[in-house]
Amino acid sequence: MRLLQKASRQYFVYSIIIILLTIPIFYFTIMGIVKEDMEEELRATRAQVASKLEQLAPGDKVNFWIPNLEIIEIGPAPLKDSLYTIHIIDTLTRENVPYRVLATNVIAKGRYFNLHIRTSLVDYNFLIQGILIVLTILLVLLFIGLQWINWRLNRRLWKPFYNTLESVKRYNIEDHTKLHLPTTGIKEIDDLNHNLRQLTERNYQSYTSQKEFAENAAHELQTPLAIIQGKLELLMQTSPLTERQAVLIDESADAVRRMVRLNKSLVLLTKIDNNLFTQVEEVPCNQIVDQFMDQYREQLAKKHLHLTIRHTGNLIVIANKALIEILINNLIVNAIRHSTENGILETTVSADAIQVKNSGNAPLDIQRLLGRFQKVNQDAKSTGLGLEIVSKICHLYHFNLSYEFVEGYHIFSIKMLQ
Amino acid sequence: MKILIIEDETELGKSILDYLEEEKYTCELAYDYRSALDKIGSFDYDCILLDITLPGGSGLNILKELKRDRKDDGVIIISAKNSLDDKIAGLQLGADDYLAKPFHLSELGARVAAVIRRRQFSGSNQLAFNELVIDTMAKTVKVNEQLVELTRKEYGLLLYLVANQNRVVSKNAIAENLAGEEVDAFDNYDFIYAHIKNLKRKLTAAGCEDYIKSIYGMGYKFSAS
Repeated sequence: MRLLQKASRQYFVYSIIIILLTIPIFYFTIMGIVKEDMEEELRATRAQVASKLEQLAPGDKVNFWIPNLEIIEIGPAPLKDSLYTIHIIDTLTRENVPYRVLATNVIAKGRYFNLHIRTSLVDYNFLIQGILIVLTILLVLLFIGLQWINWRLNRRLWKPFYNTLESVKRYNIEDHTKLHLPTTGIKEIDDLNHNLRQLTERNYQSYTSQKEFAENAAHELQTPLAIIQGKLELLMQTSPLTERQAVLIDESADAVRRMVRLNKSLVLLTKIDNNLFTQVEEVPCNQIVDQFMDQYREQLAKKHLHLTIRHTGNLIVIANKALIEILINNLIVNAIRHSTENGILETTVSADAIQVKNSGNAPLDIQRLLGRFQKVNQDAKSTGLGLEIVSKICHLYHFNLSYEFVEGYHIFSIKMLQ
Repeated sequence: MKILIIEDETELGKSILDYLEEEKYTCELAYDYRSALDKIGSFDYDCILLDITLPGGSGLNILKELKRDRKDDGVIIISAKNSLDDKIAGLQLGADDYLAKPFHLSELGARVAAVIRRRQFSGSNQLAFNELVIDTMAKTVKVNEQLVELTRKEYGLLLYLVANQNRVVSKNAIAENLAGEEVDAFDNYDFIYAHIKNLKRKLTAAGCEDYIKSIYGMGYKFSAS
């Protein structure tokens, strides 16, 4: 749930409860007032009637008429006063009209009169209805208006926060750009921005120092590796040499070679990171694919892979040739290395993309693989840097690298031209 | 044959010297820019191995110095930088070859041999080992004057072994030389065995003595004895 929704929702619920409570309370309050008012009116009429009855001469009949009044002279058996509502059908409109009735007794000059005084409730009902409608409209308008104002206000208040969030989202430590956060004048947001700037600054510093360390380490390792490799070769020349010694030398040489290769890959990654491949030219990808596949004939044959190369278009990219060669080579080496035996290897070069498809057992966790030193299997011979280099080169040239696993085939596609 | 090794890493310089002296080359070492310039000024060399990053100055300046003095010593740049720009700059300045550190000494041996061959003879270029004659210009191999048909890889393998004759060439070095830097990602030596087997078979079939010996599976040695 978004922050703005969260705040509005609270207001919304509160307003609804208030509206639902207000309307009935209002209705019953008004109703009460009206009834009280009515009773007073009925009693006033009764007083008026009583004074008129007082003026009657003894033995006279009731000689006056007041609307909505029934007077019956009765014996000395007085009624108790009562107040109630009845419905009478209006002869004109044929509607059921509610009346408030006061049934009471008046004793005038020793005579007992039974009075039924009525008054229509219709007008009051209309009044109450009118008031309720207006009230409801007012409340709803108020509710909508408050929601709207609240939403707008919140949006304006939170805007700097969302700006900051957006900047942080876009921030990429590898881009070598600083996190740009403007001063907003709001204390909390400025505080947040200040701390974020400091945090990213510190991150950037530790990132660069780590990177520099890796770079220097890789670079400085080259010479000692060259020395070890040279000394091992000289050791091979010594005699007499026992078979056991030869095996030890051989195994050491293999390990050194792995290290040399690993180191080369690290140096290469560093160079790509530092954008040291500035020389670009038109690179014909079709030829490069053909050329590498030709070189790998022995490896393909050894795994009994069935190779298909399809050229559906002529792909030429403007890039550094060495990097494109490394990119294509790594993809192909990767495909050959991870193909199942007797499987297929299918490479398609179209006018804008390269696709390498090979048989495999299970889908790869691609996000993990693109990271450093991730290996699919415990293949001691792979450095685990191949796909990272691929992804780095793609990133550098804004190529779109994608991977899928479809029906037992790993498919790596690189869209080079948009 | 006189070779000057300009390399500030003394241990690496000594290894190179040790390895090349077994090939009966006369080697000298220079550890810095100044002594390198002194040596170049005073003597002529058949081949100079030149490191780019030296204490006191850049190896590329030494190369410029050589060309200004119109010296035609062969030059192989050995650099830890492995940067394409350095390589291009070096070759444009007149270096004969470029080798990135770390390299196999046998690879260096083969490159040195090639540079010296190119410097010594112009035109026909023959490398003889008893009954075996390799023409590096025509890229042909003859045994007792009989042409032996070799594939491109077999020919390269033979030339590499002959250039490093009497020394053990490790199978790693052979793999790298045969397949190139990219292909060596596979670490698969089967194809070396296959090529060696075919090469030996073709040479012995043509009447050549079996000079290629396997040394405990560690590598191969081309030698008469």
